[in-house]
Amino acid sequence: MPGWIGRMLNVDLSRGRVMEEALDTVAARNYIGGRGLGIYYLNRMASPLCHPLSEENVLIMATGPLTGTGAPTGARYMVVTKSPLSGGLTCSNSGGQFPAELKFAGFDGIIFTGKAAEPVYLSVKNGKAELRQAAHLWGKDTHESTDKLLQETQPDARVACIGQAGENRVLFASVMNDRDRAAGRSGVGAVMGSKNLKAVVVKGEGRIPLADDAAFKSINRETLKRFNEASRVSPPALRNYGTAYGVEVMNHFGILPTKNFQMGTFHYWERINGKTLREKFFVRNRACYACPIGCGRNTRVEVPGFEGSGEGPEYETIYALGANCMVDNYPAVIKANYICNEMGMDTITMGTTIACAMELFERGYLTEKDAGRPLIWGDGQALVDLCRMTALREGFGNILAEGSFRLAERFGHPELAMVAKKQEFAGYDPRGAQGMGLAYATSPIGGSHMRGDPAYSEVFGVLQKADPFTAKGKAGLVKDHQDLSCIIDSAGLCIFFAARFMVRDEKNLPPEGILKYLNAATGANYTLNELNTAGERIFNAERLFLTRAGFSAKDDTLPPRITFEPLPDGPAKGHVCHLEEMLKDYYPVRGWTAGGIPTEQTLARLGLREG
Amino acid sequence: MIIRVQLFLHLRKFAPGEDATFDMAVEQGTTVDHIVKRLGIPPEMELLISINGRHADLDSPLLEGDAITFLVPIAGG
Ligand code: SF4
Repeated sequence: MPGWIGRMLNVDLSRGRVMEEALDTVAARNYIGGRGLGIYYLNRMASPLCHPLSEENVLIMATGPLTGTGAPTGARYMVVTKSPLSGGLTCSNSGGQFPAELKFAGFDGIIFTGKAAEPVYLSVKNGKAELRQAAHLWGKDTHESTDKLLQETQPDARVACIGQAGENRVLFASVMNDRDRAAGRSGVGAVMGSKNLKAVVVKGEGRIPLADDAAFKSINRETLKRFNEASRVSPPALRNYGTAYGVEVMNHFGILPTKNFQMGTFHYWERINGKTLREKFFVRNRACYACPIGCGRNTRVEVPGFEGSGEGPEYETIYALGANCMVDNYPAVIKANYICNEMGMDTITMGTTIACAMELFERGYLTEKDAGRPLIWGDGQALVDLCRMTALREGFGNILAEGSFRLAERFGHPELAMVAKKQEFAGYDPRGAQGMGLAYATSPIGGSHMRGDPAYSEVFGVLQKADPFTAKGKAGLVKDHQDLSCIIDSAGLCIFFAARFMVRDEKNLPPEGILKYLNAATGANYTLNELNTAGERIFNAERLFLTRAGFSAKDDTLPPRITFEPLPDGPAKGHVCHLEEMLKDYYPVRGWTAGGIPTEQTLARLGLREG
Repeated sequence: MIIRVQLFLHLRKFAPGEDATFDMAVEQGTTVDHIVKRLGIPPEMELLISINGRHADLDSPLLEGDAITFLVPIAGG
C-alpha cells in the first residue's frame, strides 16, 4: 500500500507480546494517517472513561503517509492517548528523525496496551520488534538514556524515550525523541511511564513505496522551487532566528503573556528574543527529516550556574519560562529549557505552572512555608531549581508536577490557572487575538496553539488575514484552521512549511499542495472535498472521545481573567476575549448541539455513526 | 509631518542610518506603500506591518506621530 507501509505494531506490555497487524486500509484513507489514525485506534481500543495512568489506557504512536517520503517537512509523528493532565484526549506532535526511521524500520505506527511488570524498551529493526528489559535505564535522563541505547543497539538508530518526569508520572511529562525533539504536551510521557515503557528504538533500511514516483518528484521540485524563490526575496526568519522570533512579534502586538497573563507586554522582551539568542547562545541550525527550513537551533550557555548545551528554546518555552514568570535572565530560561528536555517535561505547562505559583505567592494565597522558598517574579534561580524538583517530585515540586489547575485549586483559587481543559495556554493572549481564545476553548486537548492555529490569520496576517480584535466571523475561521491542522498533523507534515507552501491563502484554506502530495504518495485519489471532510472527520472523532469521557460545552471555557479582565497594557489594552459570542456561532458551524455535542446528522455525514 | 519607523530582523538594513528605529518627515496623507518605496524595500518582500501596534496594510494612511513598524511574518522559514 503506497505511502503507508501497511503494517502496525501491536505491543501488549502486560503479556510481553509483540504482534504485527495489517494497517486498516479503509481507516487509513478515511483518517489520512498520524493524528487521524491515532484517534481511530484510540476510539476503538480505549475506554474514554479509563484512568489515564492505568493499564487500560492505550498509547499510540502514528506516522503519516508523507512521513519519510521526502516531501518537505514530512518528518512527523503523533502520540495519541488519554491525557492525565486534562482527563480527555491528547495528541502530541513531534518531528526530528525518529518518525521517518520508524517507517524505514517497517511500521506506520505502534499501539501500546497494558503495563509491563518491569521497565522495558521496545526495539524495532527492519521489520522485527522485541521488548527488552530497561531496568538499567530507569532513573536516567533522556540524553543519558538515548546515549546508552545507541551504544547497546546501533549508533545510527533513533530513540524516543521518557526522562525522570515520565517515570514519576509528572502530569505534563513529554516523550522526547532524537534527544531534544518533544511530543511535549498533556502528559504523554506520564502515560508511557505508567506503562513502565522507557523507550522505543528504531532502525531500518526499508524504503517507502510511492504510488506515482514521477508525479511525486515533480511536485517536490515545484514546491521546493517556490520555497527557494520566496526565501531569496524574504530571508527565512524561522531559519535565522528560530521560533524565538515570536517574542518580537507577540510583544509588539501586545499578546506576549506576561506575569501569568496579567499583562500583554514584557518590558525586558529584548533580553529574551530571537536576536539575542542568535547573537549570544547560537551554535548551529537543526532541521527535522527532509526539512528545508531548519528552525531548530543548538545553543550553548557558559554563564556560571546555568552552563549547558542542547536545543532551543522555542518561542513557546520563552513565553512560559521567561515573560510569563517575568524572568529576563536568558541563561536561566535556557537552562530551565535544557532541564525540561533532559528530564522530559513540557516547557509550556512547566513555565505557566510556576507563573501561577508566583501569582498565588504574591497574593498571599500560598506561603513561603508551602513552597519551601519565596516565589518572586523574575527569579531565574528559582525557575531552574523548581524545574528539577518537579521532574523528581521533590518537595514543592511534587505539587507543581500536577500542573497549574490542580495547584491553583489546592490553594483555593482555580481561577488563577491559565488553562483550557486543565491544560495551559500557548503564548498568545486571546484578548488580543480573539480567535485564539476560541481555539484554546475548543481544542480537543485544551490550551494549545497546535491543534488549530488562527494566529496565522490574526497575528501574522497570512492564511485569510483577520482583525485580531473582532469576534465576528471567528467561528468559521477557527473551524477552518482546526480542520487544516487535522490534515497537516495526519499527513505527517510540519505546519511551518505546509501552512505556507501547501495551502492556498483564500477562504476555507484549501490544502491543495497537501492533496497533490497525498495522491502522488498513496494513490488514494482524494478530491479536495474528501480531504477537507477527512480533516473534519478527525476533529469530530476526537470530540466524540471527549464526549464519551464526559466533556461538553461546560468544558469549553477560559478563565475569567481572559473573558472579564481587560488587558491593562500594550496595543491590546482594554480588550477582553468574547468567548461566549464566538461559541454561539461555533457550535452551529461545527454541526454540534448548543451543548457542544456533534449532532446525529453531523456524525452520519462524516461516517462516524456507530453500529 | 513626522512619523516614527521601526524595522525588524533583516529589514534593518533598509534603515537610513545605524539605528533600526528612526523618525521620518513625510507629507500629510502619506500611505504605508510610500514609506516602503522610500526605504527601498523590494515590493515582493513579505512584510507584516503595524501602525501603533495595530495591523495595517500597504494602503493604510499615516497620521502625525504614528509609529509604523515593519516585521516579518513567520513565512515558512
Ligand atoms: S520547520 Fe522546524 S519544526 Fe518544522 S520540520 Fe522544519 S525544523 Fe522541524
